[in-house]
Amino acid sequence: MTSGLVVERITVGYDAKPAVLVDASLTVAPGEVLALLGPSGSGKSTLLLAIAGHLQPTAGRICWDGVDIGGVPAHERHFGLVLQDPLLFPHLDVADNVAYGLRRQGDKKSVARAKAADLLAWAGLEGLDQRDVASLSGGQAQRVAVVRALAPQPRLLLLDEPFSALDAPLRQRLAADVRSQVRERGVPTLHVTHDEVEAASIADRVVRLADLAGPDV
Amino acid sequence: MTVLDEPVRTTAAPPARSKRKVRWSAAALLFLVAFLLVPLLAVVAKSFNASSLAILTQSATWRTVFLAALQGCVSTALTLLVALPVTGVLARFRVRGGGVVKALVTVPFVLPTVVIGLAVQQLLPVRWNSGFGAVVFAHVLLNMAVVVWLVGTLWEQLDPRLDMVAASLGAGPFVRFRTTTVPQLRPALFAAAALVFAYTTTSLGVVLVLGTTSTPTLELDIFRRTGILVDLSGASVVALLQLLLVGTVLGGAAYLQSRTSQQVLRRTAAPAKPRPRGAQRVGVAVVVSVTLLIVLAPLAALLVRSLRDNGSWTTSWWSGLSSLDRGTTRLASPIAALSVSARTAVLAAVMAVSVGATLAIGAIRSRSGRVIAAAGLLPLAVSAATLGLGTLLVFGRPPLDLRSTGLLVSVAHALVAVPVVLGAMVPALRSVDTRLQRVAAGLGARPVRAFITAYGTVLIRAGAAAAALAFAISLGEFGAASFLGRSGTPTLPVQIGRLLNRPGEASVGTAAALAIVLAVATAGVVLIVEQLMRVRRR
Repeated sequence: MTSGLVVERITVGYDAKPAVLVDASLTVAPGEVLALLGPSGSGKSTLLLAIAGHLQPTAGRICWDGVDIGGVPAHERHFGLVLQDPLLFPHLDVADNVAYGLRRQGDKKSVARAKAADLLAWAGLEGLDQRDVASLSGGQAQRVAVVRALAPQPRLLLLDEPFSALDAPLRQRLAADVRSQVRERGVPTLHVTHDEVEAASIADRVVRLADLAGPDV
Repeated sequence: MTVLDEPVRTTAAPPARSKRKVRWSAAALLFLVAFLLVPLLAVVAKSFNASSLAILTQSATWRTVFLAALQGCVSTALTLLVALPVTGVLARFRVRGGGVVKALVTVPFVLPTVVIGLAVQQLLPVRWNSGFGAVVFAHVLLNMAVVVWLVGTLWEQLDPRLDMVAASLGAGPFVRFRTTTVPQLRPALFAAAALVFAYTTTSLGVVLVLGTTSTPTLELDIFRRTGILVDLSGASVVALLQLLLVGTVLGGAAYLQSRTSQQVLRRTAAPAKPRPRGAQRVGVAVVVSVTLLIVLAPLAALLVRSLRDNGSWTTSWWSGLSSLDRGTTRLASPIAALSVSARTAVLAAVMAVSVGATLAIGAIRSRSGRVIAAAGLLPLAVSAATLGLGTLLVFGRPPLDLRSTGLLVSVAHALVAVPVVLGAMVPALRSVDTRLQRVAAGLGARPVRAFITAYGTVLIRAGAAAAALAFAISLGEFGAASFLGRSGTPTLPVQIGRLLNRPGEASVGTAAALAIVLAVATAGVVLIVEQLMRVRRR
């Protein structure tokens, strides 16, 4: 049994069109930060959405700690997800956004908000608790999105080009922040990007999408 | 990247607001004043006096208010309950035949209310085919389209990735719906609920056919006082009471809507909707079939009625359609009535969209936007009977006799359709990133050009949808048309109404056949426009 995430030769496609991702395999070991490099449109996001449980592979297996999780719905996988855009809940303030996952685990609103405030402070975002998410800058919003994903203590963090909408200096600073945050919390992370420098700076290990075909990496 | 809906009212002035736009809004408001407010004032001025205020002290009046409001609340809640599943399914998934489903759901909304009443009466077993339950069922059937169109338009625009993020945080399907989808849909839900409440509390045709003493409405009271008792002063008091009641609800909804409309995360690119898969297929199939059953069963009952004569099958109601006017001067042939209806509806759609679009633009761009939007909703609160009577008083006789031109019916239909046009266009226009206009202006576009660049596509798309709805509403409108139309050239619904008023098996059978013709015509229009819009979207 291999612990952590094991993706075994999965093929994913949309509707009747030819599959976007064919026969891809991948492993993320406990505590590991893995960067997955590939040009845009190469199927990186598709792979990520399949792991998160939003796309059903037509072939292959996705396993966690040796158990096939193909039939487990997305909300029971405990995999955090951060996409290109922050996608903060527009009707909730910053603290309620971060508290969202904690509330789903049964925390009372006041408890969840207090924990969220602590987490925001931990991430260097103190004082933003009651802010309207529409008033955040792009960088702030994406940092909140990362904190929100980490708050319910996911088993795995999935990042899909989370900094690509930001300008270069900010991108590097955020990449460094996220790197230290996931290290500190020991969350295994799969970071998808097309930026080689970013991949090298954030990850323990870098793989290219083109090399995924076949049994294992 | 994702663009959050910009706050509509910022502390800084919205860009490029010119005096010209205010003047356009003023012209549209003038239309409302001339054809809505003046007739209303004419009714009040003609009949309002101190003694008629005694109606307000009668317990029967307040019993009617209470029962109408109760019926309206139940109808509204059930309409949302029945219509939301299919709305979500059509908004979230690419469903084969989805356009047909949407068109079919729209059909009852645009059919004459008396026809819906007739259809429900034919469907339900005798024990239940009148009274509270039957009225509510007919109202749900009628108003599902309001939810499907208003809520569906917004739902389609929600960013589906937000749902994925919520799932990754541990939220199951129902929790996601409650905590992320519903809060974002709130402005459209408020608008739809308010509209349905307004329609059902002021219902006339349905109540006339299916009602009992447990389902009075103020509209029915106005209708009786105007038409039967000729108590115009009493009617005007009741009309004002209704205006107040419905106006309060609509105003409250508009206020809630303006407070929540910024809290929506809209999709920027439009990736193809996914086809349902796995268990979703079953859910989609169940929702679509139950919806179609609710919509089609009454229409099927109507179709059966048009083919039955005293317990045996017959085609005589259909074959008799072409010779309908034999022996009477009041009934034109169905073909003639259909062409009168179509002509009236085209004019009404053009007027409703011109006025509605202008008001919608004014509502989102000018400082007095909330006032303009509220003014556009006013026709909802005014009953067809009141409007028809007032219009006749002002424009139906010299020196201003517009009745002989045949225009008045179109004008009245345009007024009835303006609130729906606003409902379709305001949310769509609000979704436009206002910065686009600044960008265009920055590239050297003149104000008008910049406006078209930013809003053109949305205006055409939402305008086409609104025009189709206005056209369909006019095709099926009964109350105002029977007040204002010329007797020699009735519209199709008026002709159906006249048939239902005549005793006899033949009348009901022929009315049922005509209603089927109207249903097919309306569904066709809606379907064609749906297709046109889909082509434009690519």
